[in-house]
Amino acid sequence: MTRWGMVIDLDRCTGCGSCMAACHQENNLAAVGPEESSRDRAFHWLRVLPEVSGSGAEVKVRYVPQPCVQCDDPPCVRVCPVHATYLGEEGIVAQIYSRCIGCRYCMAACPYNAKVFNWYEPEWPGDLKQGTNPDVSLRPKGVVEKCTFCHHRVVKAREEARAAGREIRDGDVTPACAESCPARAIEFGDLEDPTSRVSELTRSPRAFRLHADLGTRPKVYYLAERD
Amino acid sequence: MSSGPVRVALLGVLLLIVTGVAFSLLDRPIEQPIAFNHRLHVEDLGSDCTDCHLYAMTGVRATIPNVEVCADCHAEAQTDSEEEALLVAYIASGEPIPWRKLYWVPDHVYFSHRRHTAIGGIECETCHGPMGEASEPVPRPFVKVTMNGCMECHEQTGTSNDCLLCHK
Repeated sequence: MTRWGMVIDLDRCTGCGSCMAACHQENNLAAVGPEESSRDRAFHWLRVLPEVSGSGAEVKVRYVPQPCVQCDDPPCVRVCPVHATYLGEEGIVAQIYSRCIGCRYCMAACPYNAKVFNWYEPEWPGDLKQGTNPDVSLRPKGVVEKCTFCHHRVVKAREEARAAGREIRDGDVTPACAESCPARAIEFGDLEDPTSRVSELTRSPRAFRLHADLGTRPKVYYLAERD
Repeated sequence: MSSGPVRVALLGVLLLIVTGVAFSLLDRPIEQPIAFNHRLHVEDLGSDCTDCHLYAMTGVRATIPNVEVCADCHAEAQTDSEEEALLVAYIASGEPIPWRKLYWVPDHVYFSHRRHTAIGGIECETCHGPMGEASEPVPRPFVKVTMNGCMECHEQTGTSNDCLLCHK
């Protein structure tokens, strides 16, 4: 069975933010202004986090795009009282909005701060609602949301593959963030397939995972910068 | 001032009325702008569902036909039926026919016709009932669309019931 994973090359990421913009557009995320942001209600399924080291002439900045890292042992799943979040068959940590009661236990349990609480009614001004993606639901106010590796694209790709008389395979799916990245810093594919590009990259000496010591076994790998 | 038991009884009656009204509003029969005769088209004239519901085998939505589709056969009246005259008027005006949907799934559900029909090999009647035999508009769906119904069928056919397959 396919096991979806992602590899993000920090050498390639320029911090341009196009992945965040693409994620917003693809997943019908509410656009939040400065006022709401200042109340800690900014709303992203994928964040590009700047990390600054050194100072003066030696200052160095690297950008770390951070989606949900899709743990194989996700702490958020253990604490959900209503089974609204669970580890799917292909390794994607699902969030079923119609089950979620908005208790936010999962947000507290996630060591990666990958989940966000939806403070907003699914309302768009004027005709902008026509521009929402019909493959992604318009979540109601009061539920917890997260990156799902664009699982709706997985569903569509599987349908295309079956219509063509085969099973889904590596290379059939590209999440919106990877698709939009001008530096091609994000690779996505099947970790079970040892010949896939992502599998190959995870074997790189530069590969590491965030908070690997926690034992959550994320399926998002990073490639550290070369010196 | 009425006594306690009377008040409780009055409240009970009020609650019953409100519940009754709510249920009747929820379960109102669906009326269509034209009394379309499925039986005439399917059984008598031998049309296939996909002749009008163009994307039932190839798309996410089967789609309800609009004037362009109807105009293929009805740009001019074929009979002296009053209902057909209504249709011809819609076609002449170019206005969309305000058909009302009988079957729908909520926004948080992804349902693709293609993966059930062309890929899964399920007949239209399995989910839609004997629509082809109806000689006048059906006021309520033949088959109630419920998650339990979907899951039972998935279980019987050995299809995964992973929430992510259908919930978006």
